[in-house]
Amino acid sequence: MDRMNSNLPSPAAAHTDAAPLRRFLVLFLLLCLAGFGLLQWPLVDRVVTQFSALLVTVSAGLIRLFGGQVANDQTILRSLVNGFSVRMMNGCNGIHVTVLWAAAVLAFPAPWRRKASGLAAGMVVIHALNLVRFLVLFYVGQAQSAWFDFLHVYAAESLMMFVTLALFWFWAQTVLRSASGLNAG
Amino acid sequence: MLALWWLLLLNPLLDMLRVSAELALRALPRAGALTRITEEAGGDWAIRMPLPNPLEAAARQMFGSSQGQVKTRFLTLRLPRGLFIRFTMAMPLFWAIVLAAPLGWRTVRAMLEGTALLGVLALVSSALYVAHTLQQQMPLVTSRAGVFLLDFSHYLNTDALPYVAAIVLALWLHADLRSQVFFRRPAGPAQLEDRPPRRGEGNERRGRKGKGKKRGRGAAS
Repeated sequence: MDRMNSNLPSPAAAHTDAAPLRRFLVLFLLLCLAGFGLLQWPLVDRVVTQFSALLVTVSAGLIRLFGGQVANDQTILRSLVNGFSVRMMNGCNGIHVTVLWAAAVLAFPAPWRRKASGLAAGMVVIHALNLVRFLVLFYVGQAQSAWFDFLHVYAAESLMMFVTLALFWFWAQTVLRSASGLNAG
Repeated sequence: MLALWWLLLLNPLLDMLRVSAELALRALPRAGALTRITEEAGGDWAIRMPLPNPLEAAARQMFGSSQGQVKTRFLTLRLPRGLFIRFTMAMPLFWAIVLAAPLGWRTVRAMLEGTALLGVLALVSSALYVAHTLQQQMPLVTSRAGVFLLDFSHYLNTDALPYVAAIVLALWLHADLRSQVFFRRPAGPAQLEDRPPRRGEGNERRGRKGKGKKRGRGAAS
């Protein structure tokens, strides 16, 4: 706990103590590079593709649960009603956002137990949201194909980034509050 | 902000990016008045640029002019508009984040600085995209490490940077946003903008940390 307290400045020093921020930023960028570099490795790429296939299977299962008619084959989800299909590519499976989330949480000065729980909880939220995003895009593509690209590449990705930023803000505040609570005690 | 960008600002931003990219290309050696970037009917960009030196031999081989009768000085690349759009999308994201902070001089300054930096970043991203496309057509880099680096930077450039740059820049440039994310929020409503320190705030910190270092009023980190 001591180590943590020495790293986290008080609100009064928020504008002046730049050292932990610099450390965070450098660590964050290095971890991002390492994470994105790891995704280029063929072995990891195969695992990620399997994960995408799993997400498509779950999506298809959810749609069927609510009465929809779809077929799934590996990373492709196809409507049996109108033939519209989408493929879950690497950028669509939430892995990029997960890398950013992991880099931010690991770079933040917090106890390892907090980091581990934050990492796990954040991943659950990110992938649940990504699943919703994938399903929404699947239906938007069928109903309003003109809006598909805008929603897919720009709006939905931006939303994912904003949610991740908000999640990080919430998590960081929780960590800081518990640290200051311990200080007060 | 995204809707404003998509409906109103996208075309002017793309035009600005195209014109500044053309000016940057014209600064290259051997570039002349024939160097230009035009937008085609479908929206794709046609980039006419001087052939980079390392590619001259490859181009001669490609066009069968080994006798030296044909000189290839320029090449034209046709690139889809989509990625150039992505290079400008960091701006609305950045504006949205910065405008979430209380409006004041700091916010205005961060907006201006960040927009300018993102403009430069869009230009650098476009250059990387062109270099990667050239590499796909003719070998600009031959070493394995060089090819990996080019591929990796292209991947970061197209899949990560457009989304990450806005957040990192906003937090870097705006001290109040930074403190709201990275430091414990004060109990009352946030009034960080240009707020003079309360009496005893600095003393409290100096006392707690046991350091006598003096801190300037309102200094931004």
